[in-house]
Amino acid sequence: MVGAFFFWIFAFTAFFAGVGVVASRNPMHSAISLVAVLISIAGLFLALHAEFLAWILVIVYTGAVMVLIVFVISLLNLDKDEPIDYTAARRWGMAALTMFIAAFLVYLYADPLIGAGHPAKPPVPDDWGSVQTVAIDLFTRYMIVVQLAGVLLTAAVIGAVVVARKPEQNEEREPGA
Amino acid sequence: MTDSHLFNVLVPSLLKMVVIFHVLLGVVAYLVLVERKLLGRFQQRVGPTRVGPWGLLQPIADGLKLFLKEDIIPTKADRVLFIAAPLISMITALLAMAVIPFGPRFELFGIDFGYLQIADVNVGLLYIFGITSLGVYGIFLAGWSSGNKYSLIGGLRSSAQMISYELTLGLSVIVILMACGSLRMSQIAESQGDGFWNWWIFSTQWYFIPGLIGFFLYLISAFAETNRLPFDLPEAETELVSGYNTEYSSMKFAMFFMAEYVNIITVCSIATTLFLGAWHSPLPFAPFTSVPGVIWFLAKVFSLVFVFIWIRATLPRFRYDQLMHFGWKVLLPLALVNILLAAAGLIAAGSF
Repeated sequence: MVGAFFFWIFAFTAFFAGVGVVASRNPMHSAISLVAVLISIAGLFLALHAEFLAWILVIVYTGAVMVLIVFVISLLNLDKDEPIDYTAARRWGMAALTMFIAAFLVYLYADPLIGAGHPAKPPVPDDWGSVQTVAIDLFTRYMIVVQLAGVLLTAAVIGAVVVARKPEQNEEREPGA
Repeated sequence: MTDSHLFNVLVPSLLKMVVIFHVLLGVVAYLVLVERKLLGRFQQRVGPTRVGPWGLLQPIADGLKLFLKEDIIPTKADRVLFIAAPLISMITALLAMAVIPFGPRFELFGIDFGYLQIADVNVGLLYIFGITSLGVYGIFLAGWSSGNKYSLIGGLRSSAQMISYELTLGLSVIVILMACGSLRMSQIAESQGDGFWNWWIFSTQWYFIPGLIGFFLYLISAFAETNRLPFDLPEAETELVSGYNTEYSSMKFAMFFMAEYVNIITVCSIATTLFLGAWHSPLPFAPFTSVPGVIWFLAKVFSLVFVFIWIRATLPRFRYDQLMHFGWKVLLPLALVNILLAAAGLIAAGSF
């Protein structure tokens, strides 16, 4: 019962913060709304007793990723009420995509295997979502995936460094040129 | 959940919440006075003496002054975020205190109060890092929403600094998790009983080193996290007027001010819990063990707070590039090596 209570609170804030992300004219307000969405989702995880996942979500996404996004927005010096001009084709395209995703979610919800109609699920063990169980899963079942993700991230970091480096200026090094 | 069970959980929690909250705010008010007094002594002055005996009523006068000041919101400011920023700072600072175990288990009127800790979360340490990572939004949004370039630079510096040093902060305490095997604050505290040689800072289990290095790495990054000298670039007066809080006045300014001091107490409490044996007495026999655990805990916390003030009076400010260089090229590699050391020590000791 307590879980359901928190579910509704966080679902409510997540929904309205989500609307805020899309509806805000000011990019900074959108970003901060997104932070609110992420915190609400962490709250939903907490209501499901997935403490580890909830706090990792807060630390990684709101504590690091969103801070960087906010950082970039403030450096870009965007005009506050800059109107966004989309072509008609693009508008219709986005509307169609949204409808498709909405329909897909409704389908998922109605699906007897995963959605609301699913018969009583097996009880969740007490330590579900604890640091230990997540760690054991990560270091046994998903070992290769974790390693691959590590390689991918390393590659991304190296790529970022390469892109950020200024091209070397050869003129200064060749005295005759 | 039965009614009596709910009662037995809810009432102690609420009581502890109220007591800890009020004591904390009182301590914060007087911490400002203590800092001014100590800084005065460090600089061959006497500090505030005018309001009350030894300046003891100074915090009340300060509070009253701030409360009566006009609350100004600049016209160029982003109103919503300008108001939200000090609230975020204050709330995140206070929330982090919720999992600090100030004392051992105790009973009152036959009700088991558990540890002197508001919530004994099983991922307590992660909770603290999650909450403190939100604290950066308070400072950053204050700088951004003020519509003032000095504030913006202060906010940008603070977010860059806090992200950089949060890494070291997190990595420096991983050695404790490895040795202790739990993220629960009370359990980490319990694991350090029976004498100071069992505190993680001195622990002989893995030959001193990782705990000691971890403690100093933690302390240095804690200075940066709380924006204190020598890492107070976000509010470097000589360059940025006052940084992110330039445009703030009255109670909104007071909130930033209080949040800073609450954060200092929080990081010192975490250091005490993780490295300095929490509420355990340094020597495990009679005259020491009869002192209540809370007293030991507070004594350790305020010793660390004294170090914070002492450092402030001693060291000059870092330059921005030195700060980044130090964080990424010195502290972070050290923290990583420290984890390897701890792992090697644990394997050598046969704990794995």
